[in-house]
Amino acid sequence: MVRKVKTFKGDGGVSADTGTYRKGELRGIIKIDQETCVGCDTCRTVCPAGAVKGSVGEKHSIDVDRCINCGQCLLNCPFGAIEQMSFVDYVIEKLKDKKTKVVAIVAPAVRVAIAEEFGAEPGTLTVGRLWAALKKAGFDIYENNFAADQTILEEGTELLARVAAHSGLKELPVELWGKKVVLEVEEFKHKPLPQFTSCCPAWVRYAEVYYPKVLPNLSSCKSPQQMAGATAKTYGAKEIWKVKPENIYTVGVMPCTAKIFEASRPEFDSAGKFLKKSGMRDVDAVLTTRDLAEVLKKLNIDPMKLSEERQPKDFMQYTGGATIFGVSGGVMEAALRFAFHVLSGLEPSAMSPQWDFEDVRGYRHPVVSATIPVPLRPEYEKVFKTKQIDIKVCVVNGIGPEGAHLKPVIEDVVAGKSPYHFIEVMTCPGGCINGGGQPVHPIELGLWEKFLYAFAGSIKK
Amino acid sequence: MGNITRRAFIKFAGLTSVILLTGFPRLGSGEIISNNFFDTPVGRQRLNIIKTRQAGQYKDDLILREKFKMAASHENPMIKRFYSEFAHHPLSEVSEALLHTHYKARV
Repeated sequence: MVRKVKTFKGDGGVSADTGTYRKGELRGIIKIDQETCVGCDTCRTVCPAGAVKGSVGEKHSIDVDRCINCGQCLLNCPFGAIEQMSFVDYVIEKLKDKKTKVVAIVAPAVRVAIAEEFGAEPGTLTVGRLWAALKKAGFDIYENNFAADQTILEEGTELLARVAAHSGLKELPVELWGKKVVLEVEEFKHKPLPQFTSCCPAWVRYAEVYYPKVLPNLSSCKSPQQMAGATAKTYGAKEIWKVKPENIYTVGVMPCTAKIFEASRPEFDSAGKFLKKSGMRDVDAVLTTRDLAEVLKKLNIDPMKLSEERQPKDFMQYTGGATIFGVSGGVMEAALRFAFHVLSGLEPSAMSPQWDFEDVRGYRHPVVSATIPVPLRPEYEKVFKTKQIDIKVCVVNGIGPEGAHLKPVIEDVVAGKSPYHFIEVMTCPGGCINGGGQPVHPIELGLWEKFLYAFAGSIKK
Repeated sequence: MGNITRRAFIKFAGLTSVILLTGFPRLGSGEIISNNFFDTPVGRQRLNIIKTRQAGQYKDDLILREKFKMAASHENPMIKRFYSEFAHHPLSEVSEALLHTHYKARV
């Protein structure tokens, strides 16, 4: 059985730059309830950022300036003492307003977990049912998986551009859908290798706070959630839905608490800038998987009672590469599928094992690395002066307590001796499927622990 | 029992539980067990959930490839439409404006 997580309403972003937060950003998304905390220290042992204050036996609290909002503490607290800022009520209000088009941006990891909130086994795949439930609730759907495909096109091409620039090229021809574009890649010489993924907002904040030196190594791509928000209010509003962008309210539905913070970043108002309209956010609100279940329950909708049939159209179309973004190694594999196609010119059939890059899948190792040989198409053979290119990649499967897994990888990058082209970092072990916004299965306490805490509880009274 | 303070007891209870829950921080010489989340008691409890959700995600990958014939991102017809009608090509000016960002240090 999943456990309900306590939530509280946010009181808006900070009014001026405060500590590690900038004007407008939400601060204190994760909070430890001082009444319930018994000081067991589990949260501190799983915190990647060393942001939990207090030692064993003391009430713990979070240093918000160090916190990266990943929510691993919340997920793993045996006492349910950690709370999350929530936007459930705001979204329900918008759903009632008939003038507003409420667009749900649904992340891949939500579809393998939300069913748990309705009594199903962990891992139950819920796609058609989830879409049907969202529609019943009044949402339009922009698959975050479609945005993941956008991300791969941009991030994959950026990687190729960096590799080409560092091989001394000025231009890189890219052939897509039978059309050729020649990209000017000279400026990418200033963007160092290896390239880091930038999909995980907790990792991006971790880099900004703890390792600003590697920021040039981060892909300049926004995360899928932010790409979705910006595209929905521009291209989506004009060409697909034919509505006024002001009447669109975008809601990220995410397995992640750091996405709540990400959406509040001041720079993420690019749709407004693009359309020359002020005061418009790319993503207006974020619900975690738990929050969406709460919205559906409040509206009396049980997705498990709906049909799993799917008929994707418009922004609901997505690929296999996109859906594996939810697991550790997924972004890497999707990028490799795309890079493999562009570099080799090959088009394997959909079920071909050539699309499987199993060496990069996260599973249970904290750091995974692999060398992927990719044959080059004749045009690239001439450009790169070789028949085959070896892409060296690394997947960090969870930043680790106080950065334990990431640190050796990142320090090599800072020292300029990293062997890799591309590094994926996911803050949560396992990837987004184990994110801080997912349904919480309580940590089981042993008999002895239960006895101790019950005793401690009775003494406190 | 009068000489055991409440604070001391909670501290004792907390410490014992930490050891029971997460194990001693370091075992053996040099081998950092607690650093691999999946080898801690908390991580072991999470592992099954992670594995089943992961299996669900790869199942979706197979459905997309088998039924919809789409393995790699460029094979998405809506992606092709998005670029042909709007963004032109990856890393274009439209892309830069809407899909890319820049980072600032926060120290």
